[in-house]
Amino acid sequence: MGFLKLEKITKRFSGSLAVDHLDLEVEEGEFLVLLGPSGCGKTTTLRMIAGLEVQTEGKITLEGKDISDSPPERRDMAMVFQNLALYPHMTVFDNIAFYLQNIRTPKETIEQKVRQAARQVGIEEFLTRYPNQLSGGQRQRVALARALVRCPKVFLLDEPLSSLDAKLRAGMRSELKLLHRNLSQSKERKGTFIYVTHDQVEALTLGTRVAVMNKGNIVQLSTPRDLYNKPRNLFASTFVGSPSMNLIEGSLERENGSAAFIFQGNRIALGEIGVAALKRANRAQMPAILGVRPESVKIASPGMTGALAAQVVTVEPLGQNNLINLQVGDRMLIALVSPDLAIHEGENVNVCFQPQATHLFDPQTEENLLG
Amino acid sequence: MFKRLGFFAGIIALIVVAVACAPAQPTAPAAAPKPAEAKSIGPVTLELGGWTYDNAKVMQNLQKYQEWAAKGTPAIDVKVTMSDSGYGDFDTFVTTRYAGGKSFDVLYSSDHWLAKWAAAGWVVPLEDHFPEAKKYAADITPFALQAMTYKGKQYGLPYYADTMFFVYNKKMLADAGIAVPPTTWAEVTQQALTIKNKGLSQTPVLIGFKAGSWFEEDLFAMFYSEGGKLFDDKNAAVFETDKGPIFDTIEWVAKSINDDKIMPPKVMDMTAVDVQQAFKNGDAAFVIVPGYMMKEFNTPGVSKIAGQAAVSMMPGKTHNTNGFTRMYLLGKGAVADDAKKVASLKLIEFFGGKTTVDGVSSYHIAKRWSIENGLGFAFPSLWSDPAVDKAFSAMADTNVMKSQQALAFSKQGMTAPWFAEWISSVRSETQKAMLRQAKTADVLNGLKTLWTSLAK
Amino acid sequence: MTLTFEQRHHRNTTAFAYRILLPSLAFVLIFIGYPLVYSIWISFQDFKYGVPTGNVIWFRNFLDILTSSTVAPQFYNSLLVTLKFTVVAVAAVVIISLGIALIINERFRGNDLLKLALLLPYAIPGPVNAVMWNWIYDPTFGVLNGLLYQVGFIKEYFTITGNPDLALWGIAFAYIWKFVPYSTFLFVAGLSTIPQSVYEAAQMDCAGTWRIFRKVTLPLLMPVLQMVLVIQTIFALLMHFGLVFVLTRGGPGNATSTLAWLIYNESFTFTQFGRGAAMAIMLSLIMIVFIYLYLVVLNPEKRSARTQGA
Ligand SMILES: Nc1ncnc2c1ncn2[C@@H]1O[C@H](COP(=O)(O)OP(=O)(O)OP(=O)(O)O)[C@@H](O)[C@H]1O
Ligand SMILES: [Mg+2]
Repeated sequence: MGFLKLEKITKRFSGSLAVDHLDLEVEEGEFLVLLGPSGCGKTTTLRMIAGLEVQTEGKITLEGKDISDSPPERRDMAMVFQNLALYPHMTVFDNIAFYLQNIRTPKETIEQKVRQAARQVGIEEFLTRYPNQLSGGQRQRVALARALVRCPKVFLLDEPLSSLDAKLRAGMRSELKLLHRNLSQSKERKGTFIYVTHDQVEALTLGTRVAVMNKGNIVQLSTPRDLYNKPRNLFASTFVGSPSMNLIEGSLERENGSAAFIFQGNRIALGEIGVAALKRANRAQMPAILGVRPESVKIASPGMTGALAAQVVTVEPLGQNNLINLQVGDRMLIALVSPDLAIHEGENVNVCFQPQATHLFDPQTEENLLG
Repeated sequence: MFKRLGFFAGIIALIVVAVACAPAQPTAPAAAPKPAEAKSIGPVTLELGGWTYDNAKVMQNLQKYQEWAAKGTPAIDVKVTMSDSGYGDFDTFVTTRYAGGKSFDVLYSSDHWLAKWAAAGWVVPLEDHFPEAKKYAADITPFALQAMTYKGKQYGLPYYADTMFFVYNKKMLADAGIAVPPTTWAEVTQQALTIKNKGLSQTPVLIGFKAGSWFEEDLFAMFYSEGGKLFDDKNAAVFETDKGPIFDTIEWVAKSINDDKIMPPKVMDMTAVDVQQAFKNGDAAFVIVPGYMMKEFNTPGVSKIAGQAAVSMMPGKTHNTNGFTRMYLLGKGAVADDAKKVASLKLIEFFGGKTTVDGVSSYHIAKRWSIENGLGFAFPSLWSDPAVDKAFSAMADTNVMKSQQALAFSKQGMTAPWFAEWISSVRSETQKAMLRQAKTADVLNGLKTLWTSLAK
Repeated sequence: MTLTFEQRHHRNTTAFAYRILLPSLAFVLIFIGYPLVYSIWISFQDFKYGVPTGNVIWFRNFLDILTSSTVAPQFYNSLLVTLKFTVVAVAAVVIISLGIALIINERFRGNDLLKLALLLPYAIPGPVNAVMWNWIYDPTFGVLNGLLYQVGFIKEYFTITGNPDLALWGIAFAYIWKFVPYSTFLFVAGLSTIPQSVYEAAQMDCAGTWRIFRKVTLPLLMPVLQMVLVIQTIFALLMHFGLVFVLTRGGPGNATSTLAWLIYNESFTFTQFGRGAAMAIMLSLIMIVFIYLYLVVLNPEKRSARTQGA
């Protein structure tokens, strides 16, 4: 039945369409991540959930009740603003305590809760400072603490870790994950999070589910695992994963009981996957885009069947992996391989990939041919 | 270090220089003038300081003066420019001007400003530079002559002199069945009550008591009507503070406003002009106004009660009234320069005296103001001029006018230079008594003490 | 003597600052310093009927104003009238203009119309404003009387400026009407610097309208509020003069004889220039006291920490 439900939500700003008939259901205790490129409507969606923005069309329900017309203060949600929106005239302590003061919490409780929230984000020592006496990252943590000090029905976090350095970000990520786990095990109120980011690592590590957004709509809503392994369309496939998935345009053809992907005279046997795709489309031959993640591109020993002849253009050591830029015909492929593999620039190699590791997309609809 | 000191020293020097160049302070009148012998004088430019009143006519008069002077002996090539302000602010206008170190050649003035300006040396005695002024004295109404005299010296020639009259609405009185206008203030009360009760007017008596110079013209007229005496010849305050004419007058006003309600409280916010307007509108039965208003009151189209306004002797024990005088004065700027001085004296004589124009000898300008604007004049001999008599008969009973004028006196005390300061308190303090915010006796006591303190 | 780099740097920048400020400093000294010094000098002079006697009497004028039987009562009355007027006028202007500014800041339909309407009193020059209110208040032909009479609110025309209990408030009303727009615009400008998101954050934090105003808007508006208070106090102490001059001339009684009016009278009607200047200096001191109170009471130290940096 859905804890929080968005039905056909549309937001139009004087002409421009920011969110377009978006449907979304969030379960209680879930950690839902909204992932998408800049300008795709993440913040707008979040603000409509918060009640800061009124949707042009559609309905929002919380626990079955229509809250479309409720003002923000009646929705009991906490928010971390993308631009932080700290109170410049209040100390860090007061910034965090403002909500508790507003609902007339006893002083000692406030003191204790504020300290706890500050500790969680590691800004305890700055409680008496004013926002303009803090670094960008410290401010962001104040904004986070301002939400964490509460126990709301929904946490709305708009890129809360964007200005932290990598180490701090990793630390905060696990802190949030821990917090979510603790809250979701609690008896009375399970912490429900809606988390906006355009960082896929955050999305994949934090989210119980990830909604990939594009142009005001959700293009895929699934678990992080499915999102990575079964991208529903070209957009999701390229947006998630780093470096991004290799895409090759060509055609899919039936070939005596099996199927193969043909491009520029090269032939890649796809076996069952190809057959299933053709069957699904009910065609014997069709144009298609083949997608393969860089880590699934294997460097094969020369002369191996089904392998593509390639030339190594560059080798970029990333530490854990080496990123290899390969030229196949007139197109480039990226492969992530173990640094142990001795490969040199200019070398001629063969590459191949396992059929199960490939994805097939319709060039017209951009949908995954296997659904 | 020295650089900085030098910098500050420079600034200080700057200030000192600026202060030294500050507006010149008034100095004593210039030394004895040299008689002008030249056959022709000029070109000269004179500056006349005056208040705004029928400026078109003033310009015509100035034009006439320039032509007349050009033909005189000696011939004077003169141009006059006029700087004016409203009458109410004219004193400030002049004060600001002189405080700024500048001056006028000829000025308009009113009787109550003469002492202040003369004491400050902004104007000089006319008779010192123009002995002929004295010969006009015989033909000038005594109160006007007195008004133009400061410390025994005649300072000017009259622009016009008028008297405060008790004016009533004939028709309103007739409608109320009143045959004779009131002769005492008690009768004013009675008749006003009758008029009010008959619904003929809600505000039968109107006297403008808003702070301003007409305040004291009205008040002094009322004081005098009861035989009040404020100061003796030596400017010592002699008025009684708990009884007597002054006390009674103020009490009568207070009673009229607060008890009898024949005068509305809004008179505290009414200027002379407001009162005149209301009377023309038919809102009041009795007013105290300068004589020149009669022309306007009885002019159809300008006044709704044309033909109904009539003068009567001031009610009260003595029927005396207050006469006021506006005059032309010689500014201290004029005496610094011979040509200017001669031209200025001629201007004063042409405007305020008797001259021969086109073979006719007369008080040309004063007469013109009387006939065309109804302004009163300081020369009783003008009454015998048929044109003047005709003009005045058309607007009022000239017999009453003449009798009232004979009983007119100028404002006592105004020859004291501190009069302005004192009268300012008179306005605010008597207003309080009139509104019963203060006791009349206390107010008068205070004013008497104030006069003495200011005089010390 | 050797200087550290920092000292040299400081020296150079200070010298540079002086050089840059020199023209404006000279300007200030000539156009503000000189008249100030001049009026202090005048206040030490003895005047008799418009003419300085040449005697420098130092603080005698000040002493007279405070103690003599002729001036002191008027001075104290004027002081009281001025304080009453200033407190009421400043409070009313600040409260009303802040209210209007908050409404304008809400960006509703008709907003521009309101701003346009505000330009009206603002655009009317002071003297014209005074004459206009004189017509409105006129006890015989006034618009106000006419209106109230037509509506049946009053049976008889009445006077405001002729009534000692009302006159000052009549002037205050006309004054407030004229000066509300100016501070409204200052407040609107101040409010526009508060980011919308801060209000949204407060809304998310469940602060009610009043609490948002008290805890967010007002503190963030404090610098502007202080400025408005200072400006309005200076204005209220001086700029009512035209209204008094036209509407009441200090009366009735001396119900509206403010210090500005008294100074004008002393100087230009009584030609007691020394006393007038002394009173003007005392008025300036009163102004300074007010300003000091605002800056101290509205606690600036805390604010300085907030306003530095981003
Ligand atoms: N107040 C507004 N007025 C007009 N257009 C707006 C407004 N707010 C957002 N938009 C537009 O709506 C679209 C979605 O904006 P939104 O802020 O939701 O993007 P986002 O996904 O949060 O992007 P980012 O990752 O950069 O924060 C954008 O094209 C933006 O220009
Ligand atoms: Mg955003």
